[in-house]
Amino acid sequence: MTPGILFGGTGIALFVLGLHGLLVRPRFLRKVLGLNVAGSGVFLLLVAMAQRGEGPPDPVPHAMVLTGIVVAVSATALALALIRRIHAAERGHREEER
Amino acid sequence: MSARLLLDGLLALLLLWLAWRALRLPDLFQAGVHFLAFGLLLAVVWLRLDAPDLALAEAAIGAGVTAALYLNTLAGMGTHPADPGPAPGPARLAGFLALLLAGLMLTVAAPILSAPPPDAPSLPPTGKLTNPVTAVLLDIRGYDTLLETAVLVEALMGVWILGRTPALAAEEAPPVLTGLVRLLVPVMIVVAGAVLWNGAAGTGGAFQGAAILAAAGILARLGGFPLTFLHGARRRAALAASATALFLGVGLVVMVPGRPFLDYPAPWQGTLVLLIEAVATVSLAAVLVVLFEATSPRSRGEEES
Repeated sequence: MTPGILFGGTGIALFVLGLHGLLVRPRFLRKVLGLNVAGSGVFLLLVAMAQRGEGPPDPVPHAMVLTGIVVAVSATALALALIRRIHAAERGHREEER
Repeated sequence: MSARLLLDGLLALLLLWLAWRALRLPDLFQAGVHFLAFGLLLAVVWLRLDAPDLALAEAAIGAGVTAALYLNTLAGMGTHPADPGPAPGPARLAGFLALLLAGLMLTVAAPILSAPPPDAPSLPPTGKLTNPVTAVLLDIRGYDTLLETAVLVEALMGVWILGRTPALAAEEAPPVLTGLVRLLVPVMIVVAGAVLWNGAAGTGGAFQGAAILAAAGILARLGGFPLTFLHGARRRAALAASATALFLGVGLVVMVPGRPFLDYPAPWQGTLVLLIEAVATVSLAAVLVVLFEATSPRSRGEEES
């Protein structure tokens, strides 16, 4: 079993794990973690596919994953800002009801 | 069974276990810490897959900054709230569907992953950029990277639309932390510059350097330093937009003698790429630090955009 197959399979498993967590867990913060885990799974699959045996790996998927990591952190930051806003709005509602 | 296979197998199992725990632990704080460990282990896996550039970026941004954002947000939401967990019925169905999806994906991917690797396609000549990932990022697929810098600006704009971000005020921090920060941050700044410089020919590049610089900035904030050079809405906007603006500007300027967009003339390639990378490093680091600051709990009377 080459590292490519092993880590490619792990990447798929991580993607599905993250997707499941994203869809099933009710807390928003947990969904953010699920999204990130799913993203990491996709990156792992991409880089596993970039393996070329003895030679140097294909650099294009590596560049895509590098871009992906930065975009993932941007999306996470935005998602966390949305969660904060929802939380603040809910807290304001609760205080109004008292 | 070779030692390498054993190592890879253990890494894969640990990755899966850490991700599982991050998604299952009721305490969200513990989940965040597990996610941080997951990211760091993933960085080791990138090394096993011959991707040192990715390892640098993953450790700093993928694990470090992401976990810092998450934990800071969690801290601002009051006591560590627990996750009640999903309803068992739908969760079981979702689990079954997830396994089905995983099986399908594996069936499709396995032939691709186990096939003999294709012949390396010849990439266009890359001049002085002997690091192939940097060459792809900044030269061959430079347009994608230009758009990526724009994505960061958009994320910052989105965060601003949702509410003002706090000013980076000076705070009291434990003296051990402050002392450690005073020692580490200058070293990290130098290392970030070295990683940026090294990225043309060897491992490194703009994003890795930016990640280290951002980590230095976040550490400085955690140590209570005010970072006055990041104050002011206009200055933050200018810093954030500078990478995209410069990249776009360079792309347009090289068109003047009649070349295509972003087609660097051969003698200028090294200089232009270094210029773009240097500005991108500072800009991206600034955006990440401001995004981190945005996750802090707001204090009244201290807000600015």
